[in-house]
Amino acid sequence: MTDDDDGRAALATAIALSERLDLRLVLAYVRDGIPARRLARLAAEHGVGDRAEQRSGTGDPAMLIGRIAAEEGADLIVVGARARGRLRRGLDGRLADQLGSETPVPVLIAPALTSG
Amino acid sequence: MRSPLSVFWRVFAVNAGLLGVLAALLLFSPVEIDAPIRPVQALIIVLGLMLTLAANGYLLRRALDPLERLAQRMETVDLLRPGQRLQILRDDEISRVVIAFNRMLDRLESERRQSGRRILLAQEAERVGIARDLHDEVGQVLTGVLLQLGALEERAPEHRAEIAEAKQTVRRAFDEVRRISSELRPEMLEQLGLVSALTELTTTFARVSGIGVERRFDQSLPTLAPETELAVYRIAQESLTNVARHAQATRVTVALEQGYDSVVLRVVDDGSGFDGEPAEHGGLRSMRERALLIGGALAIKPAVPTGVDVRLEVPAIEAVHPVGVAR
Ligand SMILES: Nc1ncnc2c1ncn2[C@@H]1O[C@H](COP(=O)(O)OP(=O)(O)OP(=O)(O)O)[C@@H](O)[C@H]1O
Ligand SMILES: [Mg+2]
Repeated sequence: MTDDDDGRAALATAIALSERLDLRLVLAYVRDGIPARRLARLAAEHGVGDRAEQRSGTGDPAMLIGRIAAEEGADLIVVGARARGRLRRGLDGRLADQLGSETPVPVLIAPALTSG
Repeated sequence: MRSPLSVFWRVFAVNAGLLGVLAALLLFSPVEIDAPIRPVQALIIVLGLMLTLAANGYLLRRALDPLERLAQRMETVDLLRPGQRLQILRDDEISRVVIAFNRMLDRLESERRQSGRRILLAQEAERVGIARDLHDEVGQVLTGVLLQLGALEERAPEHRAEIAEAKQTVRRAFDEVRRISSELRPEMLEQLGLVSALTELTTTFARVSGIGVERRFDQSLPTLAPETELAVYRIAQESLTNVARHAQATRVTVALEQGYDSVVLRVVDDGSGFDGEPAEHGGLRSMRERALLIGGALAIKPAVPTGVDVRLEVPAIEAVHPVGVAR
């Protein structure tokens, strides 16, 4: 998860998917310098506080997410539609695109939430 | 592959294009410049210049961006977390460097794998040797001492109590030798399989460390290759050693679960855990090394609410899909 709105969209999609398919859920919060506490709070808000595993880290988001996906043996990565990687990459910075070169794990792009 | 232009020509074209546009504007637009320049004219020139510089900067940055990513990747590459490659977007000098870099990573990773395998094999062989020596040599000596004490007991019945105590001490030493040599060489693993070996490991761990162990082993697990079983065992062993040494935990859960074409080992303690990423010394490095060699995915992360959660997913023998990015 990166942006707040996008993060929530991705989170909602990932939770729904993991419930329906009975999949393990690992949440990753990789925005520069934001403490792990926020991830725990977000998870609790969405009612998956004790079910979801939580990872956080600082650094290049695409690279970190790729690494976490590898470590967790992930089957699928869910990101928000407008989630960004490095800001200074400007227009090329869409996280979903960058992930293409970082990991062989399929990436699912969650559309922005229309309500809530 | 977007354009076959080289970086040189792309930079050249960007500048030539921008200068051309400026020249065309000056030539064909009704803009005139008076001898003592008027403020509006000066403003137009300054704006035009700023626009040109901005466009130039943006286009150059795009052209050189892959270089920056390459440099960044070169600095952060970690051979124990393989599989990261840079994407080739264009067909130019930079992408030739990127391709060469990716190939170099291929080579380095495969060499790393080979040397890692050699080191681990040598280490296991050495452990087997030490275990044998301990068991055979020290074990023989201790057995001898026991026999001598027995003989002494018959000859000097008045010292029976002291001799019985000495025998007890020798037996404890004998047990200790047996424990250490089975730690060095998990014979259980070869003879009775992973579940029995882990049961023994955790039982001994609970007795020696005083930390409560909860075992959760799935009833039927897919078959694992022998070297995979050894890796799972060693990683569990190293994780438990870390729990005893660093965690100040009261409980640790050791689980062996069936995954999708895989087996998942988990060692979760309720201790103090670590902040952010732990410094990786010999223990964690060798865990990563072992996971890498058998194509497993290893995550070492904070547990919820506290403690450390070690998760290792290894491919079963009949697995079709490799786990994670290990290739
Ligand atoms: N279960 C744990 N609980 C808390 N901290 C841990 C745990 N496991 C590892 N750590 C932290 O991670 C660090 C690295 O562990 P690692 O096993 O690589 O090295 P080590 O145990 O210090 O030395 P060794 O090379 O002998 O294993 C430890 O120093 C410790 O700070
Ligand atoms: Mg250690």
